[in-house]
Parts: sequence; C-alpha cells; structure tokens
Amino acid sequence: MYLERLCLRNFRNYKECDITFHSLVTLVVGKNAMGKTSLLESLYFLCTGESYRANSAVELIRHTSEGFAVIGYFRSDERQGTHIRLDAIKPRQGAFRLKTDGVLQRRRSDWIGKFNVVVFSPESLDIVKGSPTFRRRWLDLLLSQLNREYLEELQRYGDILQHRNALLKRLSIGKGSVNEISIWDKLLLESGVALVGARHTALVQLSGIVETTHLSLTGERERLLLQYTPGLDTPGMVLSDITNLTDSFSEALARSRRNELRRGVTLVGPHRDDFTLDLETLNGNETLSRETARTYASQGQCRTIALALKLAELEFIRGDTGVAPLFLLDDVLSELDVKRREYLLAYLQDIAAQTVITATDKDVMGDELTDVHLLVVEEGVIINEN
Amino acid sequence: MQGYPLPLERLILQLQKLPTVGPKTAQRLAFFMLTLPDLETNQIAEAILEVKKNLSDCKICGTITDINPCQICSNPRRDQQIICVVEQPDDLWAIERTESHKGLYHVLGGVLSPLDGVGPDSLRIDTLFNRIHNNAVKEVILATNWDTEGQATALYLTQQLEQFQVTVSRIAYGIPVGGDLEYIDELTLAKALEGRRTV
Ligand SMILES: [Zn+2]
Repeated sequence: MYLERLCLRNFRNYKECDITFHSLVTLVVGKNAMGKTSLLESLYFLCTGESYRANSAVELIRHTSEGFAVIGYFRSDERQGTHIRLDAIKPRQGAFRLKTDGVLQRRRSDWIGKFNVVVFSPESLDIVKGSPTFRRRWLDLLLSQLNREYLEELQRYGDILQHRNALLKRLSIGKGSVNEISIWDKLLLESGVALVGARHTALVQLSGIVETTHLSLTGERERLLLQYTPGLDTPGMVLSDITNLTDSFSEALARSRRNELRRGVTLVGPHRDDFTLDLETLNGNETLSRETARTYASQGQCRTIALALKLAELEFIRGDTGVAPLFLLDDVLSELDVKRREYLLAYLQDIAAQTVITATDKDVMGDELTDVHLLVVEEGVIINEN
Repeated sequence: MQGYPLPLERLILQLQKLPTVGPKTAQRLAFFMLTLPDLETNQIAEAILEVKKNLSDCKICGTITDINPCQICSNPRRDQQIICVVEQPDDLWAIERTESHKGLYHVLGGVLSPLDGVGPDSLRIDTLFNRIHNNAVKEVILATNWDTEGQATALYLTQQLEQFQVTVSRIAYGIPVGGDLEYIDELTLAKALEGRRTV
C-alpha cells in the first residue's frame, strides 16, 4: 500500500493543492518557509490525526479560511489493487472529522493505523534531549498506530488521571469524600498496569533494534542502550509480571498518598514514565566509557541517536505489520554526514519504504538514488517536475 | 449593516441553547418556523410549555413522569425485589424497549465525575439505599454506561452496596468499551441484561 495522491485545501499556506507521489522516493525541493514542512505535516496528519509540530488542529487552518481538508488516496501494490481514501477535515468551529472512504469514523482509534507513518525531522532531537514528555509522546504515538486498544487505554488512563487529580484537589482543601478515592485508585491501577505492561514489552523489543541500528550507524564504535524507567519509583519490581507490577503500583500509590493529598495531584503512574538513553564508547570488545546521552552527547551524536530511534521505529512497525510505513524526512538529510546519509538511503531502498524527503537543494540526494520523483514548492504552490 | 428584525434575532439566539444547534442550524430552524401556519407554531410553543408544567421527577425512582409515582413504580406486577440502576431517564427507556427487565428502576441523575465537581452527594444514591433497605430488595443491576465515569460509578456503588444483603450485578455481555446505553441496539442490550454478571 502506498500514497498515490494528496489533495490539500486551506492547510497551512496551501490554498488548493493536488499532487501525486512516487511509490518509492519523492523529493520535495523549495526555499525555506515555502511550505515543504507543511506538506509533510499534512501527510503525518492524514495518517495519525495529529501534528508533530502544532498543538492544536486549529493552528493548521490557513488564515481567514473556515477550515482545512486533507485527502489522501492510497493504493495497494498489486495491479488491480484496492484504493483507500482518507479525509481529515477540521472546520474552524466544530469537531474534527475523519472519514475512511467517505464513512465518518467516530473515534480516532478507528482511524489511526490505517496507514502508518514515521517522521524524522529537526524536532526528533527532542526525543534525545528534551523532557520525558517528548519520549512518552513518541512511544505513545508509535504504539497507538499499531494497536488501537493501546490508544483507547491511553485515553482512558488520561480520563481517570484527570478525575483523580480533580478529586485530590478537592480533598486537599477538605472537600469530597475519602471513600471516592479508592475507586479512582482502582481504575488508575488497572489502566496504568496495562499501559506499563505494553510499554515494557515494546521497549524491550525496541531497545534491541535501537542497539543494532546504532552500532551499524557508528561503524561499531558506539553502543546505544535504551532502558525503560517507569514512573512508579519502586525498585526491584518485575515489569513482565502483572501481579508484581500491580502490587508495586499499588504500594507506590500508598506511599505517595500523603504527598498527593497535600499537593492535589497524582504523583506516580505511567504519566511519569521515561526511558534513558546511554551511550557506550567501544574499542573492539572493550567498553571505554558510558554516559547519559541527554547530557553528554554532542550535537552530531544526538542526531545519530535520533536517526537510530527513527529507523528502529520504522523497523518495529515493519516487524509488526509486515509493511514498511511511510517515511518522512523533513529537512534532515543535509544535516547528516555522507556515510550516514548513504546508509539511510540504501536502507530505505532496500526495504522499499515509500519516502518523502524535503530539502532546499535537489543535489542533497547525491548519486545514491536515481529513480526519484521531484516536486518543487514555491509559496504554497507545488509544481510537478516529472 | 442591517441585522435581522429583533424578534427573529431573539428566536435564533434562543434556539442556539438547544444541544447540537449552532448559529447556522438555529437560523435555518427560525426561518422554517416563519413559513409555518400559526396553528403549528402554537402547537410547538405549547408543547414546550406543557412539557415543563406537567412533568416531574418520580418521587421513588427519579425518572421523568406525568403521574407520580411513575407508571413503573406504581405497577404491582413489576418485580419489587430487583432494581436496575441507570444514569438518566433515557437509559431507563432504552432498557424498557428491550422488554427484558421485569423489575424496577432507579435513576441516579448523573455519574461520579470529580472533574465536573459531581460526587456521591450530588447523585440520588441515598434514596437508592433507602429503597433497598426499606423494601427487601434482593438484586441490584448496575446499568451505568461503559465510559470511565460510568465504570467509576458502578465501582463505587458495588463497594457501598456491600453493607446490604443484595446481589449486585453489572450488565456486560456484548457492550463495547466506552459504549453508551442509548446507542446500543435493543437485541444487544437485552442480551447484556440476560448475561449480567455478579460483581
Ligand atoms: Zn418511578
């Protein structure tokens, strides 16, 4: 399955736009602020129902217009293959609407995962250097694409957390009944354990792929170690054991109860989850040093780590679904050195992932790829070059 | 710029108070009403006035009724020992349509929702306990919705009902996660009632 055609209406700086894509590599070239990134953002939005840059869908509406529409036509690889049409519509006033072949989807979980996507952009560095929020968001979106139950659990957990925090706030000023809190504890526990379990399983698998990918990217000179650190603050818990996990979470809640009542907010649970990224410098079989990437890695090292995470994400989706996701490279190719760029492009060609790349200069591709569809962007207008 | 004549403007504004009615729909409805004969607009206006004047909450179960106690509460042929607990009157009617519940109802008038400041005291929970206590009720069926708040409410009631000698069950079979009773078809709901599980 690949994206064949995209229509945009009033999305960011695009008034009207109708373009076709190559089943493999499409290169979008244009000067800065002409709309290259917005194009990728619309593709990402089409697949996930959210932006990787904006906080709300309203920001994506072209100024003065009443709302935007993003319509994608997907086609399967076989000759007489089926088509799927996805519509994402956001009126300035009113709810966001998602349609599959014209049929309105009631929930985001009915929509997401139809067509998977991975984006590598300057913002990807936040996963390495930013706050835990960025790492949770990355993991959540990856798992939500693959597993709708995960997304539903995530939304449920979010609801429970908000109610529980509201109740804690009321209790902290002497209102509400203590009988109620045990209900929300139980719900939080149930939902939280499901999330932690799912994240643990995914991160174990991901860390393996991340390590191998990063070793290849650095010519076996650096090893990247990814380790899940759940927000339960309970040493010695066994993440693969549901009973142990439930007990640990329950104990953590009991321990923090007094603090929670004082501060009026839930202090333990998967909403405080994180994972660490450690970088080992290697010399053959010998480990020379081990540092926390977030604080010690150079800009170049961080970029390689981000690339390793993104390629692992792609590989994870491919392993789960058997199909390579749509890969979006937003303005990052020129930032990579020749060796890593070659590695990346060769890899993408090897797995036949549909890829959309933006750059200011079409020579960014070097000689690695020959069969490339070129699009040129100028002020929100796209010209098909071939 | 000349706006609408004042009475029309007023109607459009009033109509927007209705759920799911935005400015555009309100305009359409208002202009439609202008085309109706006087007799029909009077009927609409009267029906709106009557509905408030002649309906009240049943003093036993809390549903909306024109006689008090309601038809169900005053029907001696209903099984007085089974009470089905629902969030709102619409849920009661959704279950009535399945014709598979022979007992009585109790309308909570909402669900636990700390975010909206709704605690147990804001719901008709005390009156439920009084009914159970005074009328030798044997079974309580919890039929709140399957969203987070509905589940929390069912959980709370289950814990609180431990003080009584009653069987507490929750309808479950075939109801989708996050499902609203109102939107579930009758057959599924009837099966859900039959397949209720003791909690
Ligand atoms: Zn009644």
